[in-house]
Order: sequence, then C-alpha cells, then structure tokens
Amino acid sequence: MADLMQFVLTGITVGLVYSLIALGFTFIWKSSSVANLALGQMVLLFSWIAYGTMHQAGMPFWLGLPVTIAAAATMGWILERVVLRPLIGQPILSLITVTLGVAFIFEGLVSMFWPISTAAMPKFIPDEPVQIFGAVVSQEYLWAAGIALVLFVLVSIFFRYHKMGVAMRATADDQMAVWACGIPVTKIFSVSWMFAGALAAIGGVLMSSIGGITHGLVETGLKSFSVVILGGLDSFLGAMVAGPIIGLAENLGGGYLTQYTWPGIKDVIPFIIIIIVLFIKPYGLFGQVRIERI
Amino acid sequence: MISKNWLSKLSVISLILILVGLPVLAAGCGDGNGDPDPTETVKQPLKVGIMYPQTGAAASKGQPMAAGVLDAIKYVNEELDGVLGHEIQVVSRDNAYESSRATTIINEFISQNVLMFTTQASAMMTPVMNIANEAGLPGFTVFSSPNITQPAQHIYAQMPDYGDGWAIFAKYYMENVWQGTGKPKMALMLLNNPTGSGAKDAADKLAADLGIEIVDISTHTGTTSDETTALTTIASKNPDVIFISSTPAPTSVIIKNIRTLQANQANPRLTGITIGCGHASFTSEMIALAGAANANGVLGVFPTVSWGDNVAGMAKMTEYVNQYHPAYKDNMDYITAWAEGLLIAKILETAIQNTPGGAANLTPENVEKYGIQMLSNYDVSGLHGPVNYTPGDNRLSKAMRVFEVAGGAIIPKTDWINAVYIDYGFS
Repeated sequence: MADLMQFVLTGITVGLVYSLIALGFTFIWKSSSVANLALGQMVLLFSWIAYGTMHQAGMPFWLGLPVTIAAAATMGWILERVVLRPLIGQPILSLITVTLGVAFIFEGLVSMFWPISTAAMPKFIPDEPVQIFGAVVSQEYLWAAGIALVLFVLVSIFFRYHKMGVAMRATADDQMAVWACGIPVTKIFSVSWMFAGALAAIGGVLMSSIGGITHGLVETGLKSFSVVILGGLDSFLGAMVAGPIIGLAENLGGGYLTQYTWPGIKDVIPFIIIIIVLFIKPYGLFGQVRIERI
Repeated sequence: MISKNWLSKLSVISLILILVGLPVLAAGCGDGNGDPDPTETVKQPLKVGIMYPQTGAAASKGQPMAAGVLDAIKYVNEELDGVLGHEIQVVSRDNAYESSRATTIINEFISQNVLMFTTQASAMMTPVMNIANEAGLPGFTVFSSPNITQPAQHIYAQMPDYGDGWAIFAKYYMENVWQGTGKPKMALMLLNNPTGSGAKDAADKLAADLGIEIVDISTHTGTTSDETTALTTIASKNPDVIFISSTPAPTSVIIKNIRTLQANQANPRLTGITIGCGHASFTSEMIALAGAANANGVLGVFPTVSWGDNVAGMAKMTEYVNQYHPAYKDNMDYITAWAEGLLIAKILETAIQNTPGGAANLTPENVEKYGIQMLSNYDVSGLHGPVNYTPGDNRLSKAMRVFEVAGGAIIPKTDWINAVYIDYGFS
C-alpha cells in the first residue's frame, strides 16, 4: 500500500510537470493551429536565459524570473514577426516545418552562448521532501505541479472570457473569416507566441530546478507531445488530465510490471496507452471532433 | 531603368574590385613569413580522426572532452614541435551522441585516410567499431565497455571499462565498507546503453564470486527526470548498496530521489545505504547538479588523477585549461581527454620509431602493429595509470582509484587499483 501511494504520488506530480510544458504547445495550437516542434528547444533556451539572468548576471530570483519571462516573450514575438508571419496563408505544413528549423537554431544559440552545456539552476525552490499519506515527494515537483494547475486555470479563463482569447480561438478556427471581421490576425499570432514563450520559460525554470539545465529538457518537451496527443491537441483540460495519466502509467507500470517484463518497460507503457486511446478516440481524450459536411 | 543602370555599374565596380583584390588576397595567403624556403624539409602531417559528443544528450561530457583533446594536440604541435617533427593533423567531428552521425563520421575518417581514430563514449564506439574493424582502422575510445574490446580486434580502450569500474568498486566495497554478515545485496541502476550494460556484464560475471547478491537491475534513459518508482521497487528488496553506471545528469536525479525517499519519516526507505558510481558520472558536474549535501558520502571510481594532484603533466594541463577553457577547470573529463591527446601523440611517435622506413611508411596497419601494440609503460605524464599493451587485452590503461564525495569535493580513498582482465566470452 505504501508503495502504491508512492507510485501514485510520483506519477501525478511528474505527470503535471509534463502538463506544464504541454500547455505551451496547446496554447499555440489553439490560437494558430501550428504544431510547435521547437517546444523542447524553447524550454532549453529559456532555461539557459534564466541561468544567465539569475546566476551569471547575479539577479535575485524576484527580478531574474520576470526578466526571463520578458525575454522569452520577446523571443516569441521576434519568432512570429520574422519567421512565421511571412508564411501566413501558406499551407500549415510549411509553418510546422519552419518550427523544426527554429528548433535547430535554438539549439545552436544554446551551444553558442552556453558551451558549458549543463548547469544547476540557482536554488530558489526548497527541496525539502513533503510527506503525503505515507509517501514522500520533493517540493520541487509539488511547486511545478501547483504552478501547472494555476496556469491551467489562468489560460482557460483567458481563452474563455477574455476578448483576445476568444479572438485567438476564432483565428485558429478560420483565419480568413477572422480577418474579414476586422480582427488583426497578425497581432493574434504575435500575442500567442509571446504567451507560448512565457509558458515555456516558466516550465523550463521549474523543470531545470528539478534535474538541472541539461539537454534532457528537449526530450521532456518531446514527451509533452505525447501528453497533448493523448489529451487532444486543442484542449487545456486534455493536457492537464493526460499528463497525470502518462505519469501514472509510467510509474505504476514501471513499479509493478518491470519484474515480470524487462527493465525499461515504464518508457513503453504510456505509448501503448496512447495507441489504445487513439484507436477509440482519434482526436484524443478531450480533443475537438471535426466533422466536415460535404 | 535607373535601377538597371545602377545594377550594371555595380557589377562592373565589383568585377574591378575582385580583379584588383585577388593578387592582394593571394599575397596574404601563406605563413606570414614571405615565400617558404625551398630548402626546408616539411615533414608530412599525421592525420588523425577524433569524434566527440560536443552537442546532444552527452554534451556535458563531450564539451570539456573536445576541449581537452584538442588543447593537448595543440600543445604537442606548438610546444613539442609535433610528433618527431610531424604535425598532428586532426579531423575532428561532433557526433552529437547519435549513432547515425557516428557511422557517417567513421566512413568519412576512412575515406580521408586517417591513420587512427578515437571516440570518447562507449555508446559512440559501439555502432562504429564494426566498420572500423572491417576496414582495419585502429582506434581507441576513452570511456569503454567490455563489448568494445572483446573479442580483441582493432579497437582499444584508453582506460579501464565500465565492467572494470564495477569490479573495482565491488571489491573495494567488500573489503572496506561491508560490515554485515552473509552476502550484501546490491541493486544496479544502469543507463540504457553500453555505459550501463558494461557494468551489468561484470556483475553477471563476478558478483557470485565476490559474494554479492544482485537483487535488482533497473535501466533509465539519459534524460530521465525522476527514478522514484525504480528506487521504491529497489527499496522493497532491502539492498545494502546501489551502484549507478550512468552519466552525470541522470545520476544526480537518482541521488536526489534517494535522499527524498530517505527523508520519509513515516516510511523511511534506503536508509544507511551505500551509493556507488561508475566513472562516466563521477564528476564535479554530477555534484553540482545533485547538490553537494545530497552527494556527500557517495563513492565512485575514476581512472585519472584529480585536479591539483602532484603529477608531471598537471602544470601544463592547468596552464592550458586556464588560458583556453577556464570553464572546465576542475572538470575531470577534461583530464581524461587531455590524456587522450597525449596518448594519440605517443602512439604515433612509437609507430614512427618502430615502423621500418619510419613516418614515410605509416599506414593504419603499421600504427596499430608498431604503435599501439608496442606501447609499454607509458605514464601519460602521470595523469592516469600507465599504458601497456598486453596481447589479447585491448585495454591500454588498467588502473582506477576509488573516491568519495566529501564537502562537495571528490576525495581519493585509495591508491591506484589494477583491474584484472575479465574474460566475458563475447564472440
């Protein structure tokens, strides 16, 4: 029972960390229908920027984090303005491919400016373990999970009630129609990429507080793709639910099946679950089902 | 029309500038000392291929290692006048810790007719060694696993392999740490590539003889962010010692997870356990990532001296790291790679001295036969154990030391311990 509690607690908290990164992906998809393949590299780059502000420039956390988020938002704006805007109206595949190119550019920037390639994030989250129902979890995970939940609530409210959020949803649905209504699509795109940058920065800072700033952040970003595919590309709720599902699948599967199968089974189980779910619900657990009438 | 005129004028001006500039540019090409002296004999350069994981998942090790090996060769070329007057010409490539890139690079090395090549990671030597062996191109890897050198072909290991690391740690543990009765229980936490499997090979072969019971084997990826589940399962088997054979980042995650589980007041796990590390992860970087408090008391093996040790090569290496790569001061991987550069030079020197006809007849085959296989008691400026070739045993250096993390620093616990040859029976 104690083991089960530990697996569940670890699964949920680690899963919510995946959700945190996945929110940034969903945000872009929901506002522009672009699959941002540079997500992992954004997380990595903005983590290094956080390191640059807080460690190398010696800023305190209360100043370093806002500066990092502002830098990430600016980077998001530049990315949209310089790279993506010329492609408005082009096939969506072109936009997606460009994000792949951006991923390589970001990795290059990291290598150029931070050749040390690995570093520990300055400590600003206490790592004293917390006891919950006989299980234990590091505070770093709890902070990440808690902030993921707060961000989920904020972005959900934003998309549902804020004028800009509604405009973003409309833009993702039909750019031309939105343009015809006088809504500045270019501005919508800029703002959505700025938000996505900010989300990636927050996610990166929290993730690197747990495991350091390493290339592994890119893979964590990739792992978040499996979260959004399971939850539904356009659903914040899906991202928040699918993260813990994948975390639980990894941890319960790893905890109970390894002895009967092979070491490393935990990395396979989530994908088996994704395949099964997609057979039944091709748009993911909470994805919007698109029906085209012909 | 106007713009067309402008374009024409611009083209003409550009053409004139190029024609005028060419002689000037040509004059600038050269050694900076005017025309070369035709009577001076320029000795042929010795071409060597070096690949390292400068980017990608293992960049944290590859970056300092790339710096270390290139700095060492720079030192040989510039301060020692090369190898017996021959400049070492390096063809260096980043394999990004990806097998596909590594195989492309080895084929490039072969097509460029390098005399020998090196890699720095066992995971990168594993996919390329068959190609090199078929081509008869000799090479060595800095970090190695048993599958690379057994059966012995054209590939060598600069230092003891991950199997040796496990064996030395296990023996040290039995003789100096274990105070219980009966067999101690050991759990293995392994990176899912040769870094991990090398340690497992040795444990499979030797654990029973050493009187150790292996109670759990778990694998992890190089990008893991949590291993609590694996550790919870391991804890249920009451191990006395956990041995981690991995790279620094995952090792730091595991150590932090262990400390978290130990802090569970309601249900403490893994209390009093000994943590041991293989040499791929036992670096200052691992301590920085895990936090000095968490890493304190962790044991590990490593095949080189530490920074500041009183050995012949320390001063020059320190001078170079301070001058060119101060970020890697105190990084143990820089030492391994500096030694790699010195060893490349020594192999080439030995080959020139022993090959009939000398440097003019150097071929990959001769570099192996008259260079690598004639190495005898080369001390690598004291930076790691002496290098000897023993027929059938392709590990060049065989010595390691056991260290412990104390106060955030890596402190040696033993003198050099020789890793005995383990016949794994690979075919």
